[in-house]
Amino acid sequence: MKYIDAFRALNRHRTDQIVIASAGHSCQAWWEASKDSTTTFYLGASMSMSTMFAAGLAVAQPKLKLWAFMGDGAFCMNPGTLMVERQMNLPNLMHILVSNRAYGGTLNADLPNSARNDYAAIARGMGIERVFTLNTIDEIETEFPAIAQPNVPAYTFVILEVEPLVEQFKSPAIDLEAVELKYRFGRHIEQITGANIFGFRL
Amino acid sequence: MVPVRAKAVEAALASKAANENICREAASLVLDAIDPVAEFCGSEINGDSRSRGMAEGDTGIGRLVADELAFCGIKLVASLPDNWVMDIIRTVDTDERFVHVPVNREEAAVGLCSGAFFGAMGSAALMGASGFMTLIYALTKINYTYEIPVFILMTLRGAGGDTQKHHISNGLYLLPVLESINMPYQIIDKRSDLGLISRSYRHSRTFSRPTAVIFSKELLLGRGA
Repeated sequence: MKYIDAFRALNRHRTDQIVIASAGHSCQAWWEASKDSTTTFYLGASMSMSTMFAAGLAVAQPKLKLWAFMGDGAFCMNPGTLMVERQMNLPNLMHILVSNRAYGGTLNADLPNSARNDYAAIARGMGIERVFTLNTIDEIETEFPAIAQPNVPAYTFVILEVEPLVEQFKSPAIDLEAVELKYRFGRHIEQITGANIFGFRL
Repeated sequence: MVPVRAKAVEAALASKAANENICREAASLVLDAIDPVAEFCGSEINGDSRSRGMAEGDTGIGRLVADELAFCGIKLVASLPDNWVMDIIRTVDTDERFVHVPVNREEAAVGLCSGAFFGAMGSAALMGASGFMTLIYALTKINYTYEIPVFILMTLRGAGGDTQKHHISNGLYLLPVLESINMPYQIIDKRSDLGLISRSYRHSRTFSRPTAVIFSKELLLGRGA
């Protein structure tokens, strides 16, 4: 399955989910697929922090539904994050592991033990029950809607098995400064939740 | 040695109302006598950090810090252990005012707290000095680049009075590292200064970047005035 096709397919099934994109190619591919600059936070170069970031927002705003991308390059730097995610077991959080078996953001450099890493087994070994692997666009089209339905009982871990990204996009990265992204995203969260993020006063 | 220490502190605090100064001095003398052994046994032999010795006794500092955190509006506390902060960790873990999340590494605490910011949930990351020293990339990449406030509570390891030789590096480099990334911090070494927690937390929101409060051994182990 081509990386960008998988992201386009996911975007077709997206309704009101808030997305946290991660280091490597997921920021680039999600921008290409969605052109979303308001309801996605592009946590570039975050090296394994995207899902914890999403978990923080998910625990603070349980009515929001979060999708958090993480490449397997980031994942191999911190697989223990699944322990925390399982412990929190937030039903409004979906961790989407983009398994391209490479450090995509750095010219698809080799990932340690890439051919043998069994991410589903790792997740199940940490007690995660809602573990799903999607290998084809057809599987995304037919299985993902049920996986991503609202009101699931527990945290969800999805593995997207994709080919390394090699496409060159016309606009490869979102053309917004980090602080602008922060305010666009934060203002949107304020608007849909009523939360007061930037007006903090003690 | 650890139960002796815990009982000594507990007895001293229980009698605090009757004769506060005498009890504090008595507890301090006991602690000074047994600290090196207790700390060695706690950190080097026991594998489970939750059962380590140095902070076994309830010094009351956990409750005081928790009250100050709650006063700030902090609800989420992400933690990793350090013997010196176990009283605080145990307190927030059982205090319904908080959502306490034990995490696998300090970067996870920063990620959680940064995300919680976008949910308007007040948060703090509690850790030891050694853990903080692993955080520089996460803080500078996420919190400085996007200007996301995060509030860190940590230990002043390696300072005078810390008998652990493996914390010498923290004594040498913790404060210089904070200064090198222009990260504001407050050292708190007595209970009467715990209000600096609120001040530092508020400043992280104003500053839109990380700030830290650093607790001394004297404060955390019950000998801060």
